[in-house]
Amino acid sequence: MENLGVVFAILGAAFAALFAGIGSAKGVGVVGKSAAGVITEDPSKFGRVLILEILPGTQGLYGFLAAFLIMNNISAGMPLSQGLGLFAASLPIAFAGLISAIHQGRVAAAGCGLVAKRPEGSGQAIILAAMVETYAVLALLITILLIGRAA
Amino acid sequence: MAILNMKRIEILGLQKDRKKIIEFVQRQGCVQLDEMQEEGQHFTNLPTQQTVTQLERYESTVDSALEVLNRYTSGKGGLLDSFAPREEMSMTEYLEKSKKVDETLGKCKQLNALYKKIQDSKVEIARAETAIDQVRPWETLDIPSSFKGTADTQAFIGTIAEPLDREGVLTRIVEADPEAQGEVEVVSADKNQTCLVAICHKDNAKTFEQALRTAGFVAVSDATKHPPKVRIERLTKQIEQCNADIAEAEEAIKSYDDSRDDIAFLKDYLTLRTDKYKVLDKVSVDDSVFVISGYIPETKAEGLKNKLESKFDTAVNLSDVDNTSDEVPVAVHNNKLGMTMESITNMYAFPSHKDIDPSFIMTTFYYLLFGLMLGDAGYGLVMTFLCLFVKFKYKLEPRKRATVNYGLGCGLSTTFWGAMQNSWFGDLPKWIANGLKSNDPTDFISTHHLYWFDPLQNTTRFLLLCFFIGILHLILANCINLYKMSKQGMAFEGFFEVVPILLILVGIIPVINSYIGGGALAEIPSTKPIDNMINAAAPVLYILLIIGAIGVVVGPAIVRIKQKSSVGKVLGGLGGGLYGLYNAASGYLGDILSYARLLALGLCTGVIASVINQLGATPGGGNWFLFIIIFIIGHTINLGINLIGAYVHTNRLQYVEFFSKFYEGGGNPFTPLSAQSQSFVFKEEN
Repeated sequence: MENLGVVFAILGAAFAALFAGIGSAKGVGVVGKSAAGVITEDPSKFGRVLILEILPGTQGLYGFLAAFLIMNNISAGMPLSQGLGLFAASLPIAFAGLISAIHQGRVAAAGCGLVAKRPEGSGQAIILAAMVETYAVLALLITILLIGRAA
Repeated sequence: MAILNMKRIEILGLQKDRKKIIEFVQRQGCVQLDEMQEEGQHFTNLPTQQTVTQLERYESTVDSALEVLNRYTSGKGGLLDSFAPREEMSMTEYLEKSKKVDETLGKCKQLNALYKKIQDSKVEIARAETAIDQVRPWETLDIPSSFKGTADTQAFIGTIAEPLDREGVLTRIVEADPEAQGEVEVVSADKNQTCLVAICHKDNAKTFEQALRTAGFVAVSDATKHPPKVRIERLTKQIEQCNADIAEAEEAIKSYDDSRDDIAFLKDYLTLRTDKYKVLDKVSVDDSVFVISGYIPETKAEGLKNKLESKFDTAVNLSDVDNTSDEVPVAVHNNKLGMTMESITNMYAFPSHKDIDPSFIMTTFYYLLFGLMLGDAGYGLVMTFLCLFVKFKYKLEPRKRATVNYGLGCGLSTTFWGAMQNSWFGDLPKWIANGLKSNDPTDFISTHHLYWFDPLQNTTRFLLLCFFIGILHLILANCINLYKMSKQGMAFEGFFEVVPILLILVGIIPVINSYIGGGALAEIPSTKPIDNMINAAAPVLYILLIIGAIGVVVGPAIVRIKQKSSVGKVLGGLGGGLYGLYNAASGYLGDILSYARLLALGLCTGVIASVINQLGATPGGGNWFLFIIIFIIGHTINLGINLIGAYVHTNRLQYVEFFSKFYEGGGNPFTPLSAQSQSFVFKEEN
């Protein structure tokens, strides 16, 4: 029982990487499909749609970052309260990351359609997709601050 | 660094000089001609639509020929090549080359024909392959599939859609009709079908055929008079012939590689002519003179007038226009630094005459924010050196130079902020100092503390820094708004709209420091003085905050009193002010918090870079070879992803937080008639 704190902290790290990663995988997948459609028609748009495709990938990175920060704070025999704290700290980026990446993927996929019709609108498509990411960024921020408090 | 004033220009010239004058104006590239020229009593327009259509048809021929050439030859087209400057060409050279265009156009047509031949051959091959696949099961059959029998026998050649052997087929036939008599030979069988030849005596052919059909027999559909083997051979030969044709055509296409430059020239030549003829359509002419009119930037107006009047028998008339009208096209001119931001501004919206061109003003914060977000000195150096390499290798044209300078600015800022945070490819110096054994801070930079702060140890203080940078950014945006409004003669309204917001932005600093910072600044000696200063100023700042809030509420009402509106409207202004306060509180709080992304993205790059180093160092326990491989692959990916992240989020902060405060855009870009050539530029001649 004395290792329960460590278990929870590890669970937190796993949560952060896992859920944000799932979200990004889904998001990038959705955009990838649209992007491939655009490229079939016009291969020269590859660069533009590639940027759109990468956008929902950042949540996975944020989750990875949070997992790493939590791992850095794990020490043998840490109290249960601290482990639970680290676990709770992982939740914002885990779930905001999961949901925001999927939705950002949808916006970016729609953006691919925009680029297909109006290549000069790629900047606007990027910004529309970046709006969704704000909430992942805020979640990551809270996760980082909470890790600082819990550790 | 500003939006240029425009003038109207009218050029009146002799009919005989018409093409020459328009070509001259096109090469100067500083006049935007009116879409519709007035048709007056004596003037009519020249229809050139047919010529334009014909030229556009040629253009598409040339385009597809170039595409074909690029596909089959390894020509130019690398990323670095795209920075190479266009060839300079004088007018005489241009005319000399123009003589060859008919010949080149012929070459383009031949290229397209060759490509069509390749495509046709490929279709032919596909067709033959399908045919072979169909005949393949019959390969061992040594009689033609159209064989009907001998004098006394009748033969049936076909398939049953089931895998069966000889006994299986015979059983089926007997099951169908015990009377049926005949012989069966199975040619081949797979899991989908059985190919077979059945033979019976002519006398009982009917019964046998009936029984066969009941057993599921279907005669071959494409019976031929040659045995299948011969057919396969013939088809194979056909494929070989087609492949030979393709190879021959590809060789022929490659032999046109020498003409690449000519074709590129022809493309430009046609573009230039198409543009010219499109303009000729707009020219008003009568028997002896013609008129064109349009807009020209004030700075170039006199120069063009003098040149035109000295070269040709023309009368050029310049007149002033209302430079606030939406109809007047907008041209911007920036210095080298400002130019780097033009594409970013234009991506949001092209400036209008009401706007202040923000390109130059935004450079400082743009590079600052970008550097903070990417925040790794190693990555910054990579960017810087790449840009410097391109800059010195090629003599760059203005637009491309701006792109490279933009990369250079981002690289330098990234290097600076990376160095401030002790991030050199993550924690690379620490691993090197310990021979890849650990990342203890025993390296030169860490031991001498050659950096400002470690972001992981100072997350809250870093966050406060981000918020303070954000507040400065927002203050700048509001100041520009105030300047813009006073320029439009609304200084009074601007004062009551902007100054309260400025007071709130300044007054909120102690709030952020105590509620979000939570005394983090007081924890370490280096930032304690800042904390002390903010705390000392806090009472004053709180008063400013309150004055600002009151200002936001009463501001609209005061403006309406000045406009001598009715009492009801003044009271309505108060209501609007209350709503405005709510908007300011939620909106500006959200804006300031939005700058937290600087911290999130900044940490992201550095931490992931460190993880890559750790991955490289751990498995080999200090194997340099492995480390270098993982280092190169990992950091390339990390740099790529974070470059895009930093670019996108810096733009977001510029567009959503900064531009929304003062920038409207929506102007009508100045598109002068110019030589839109891709492979060469005209040398200025006198």
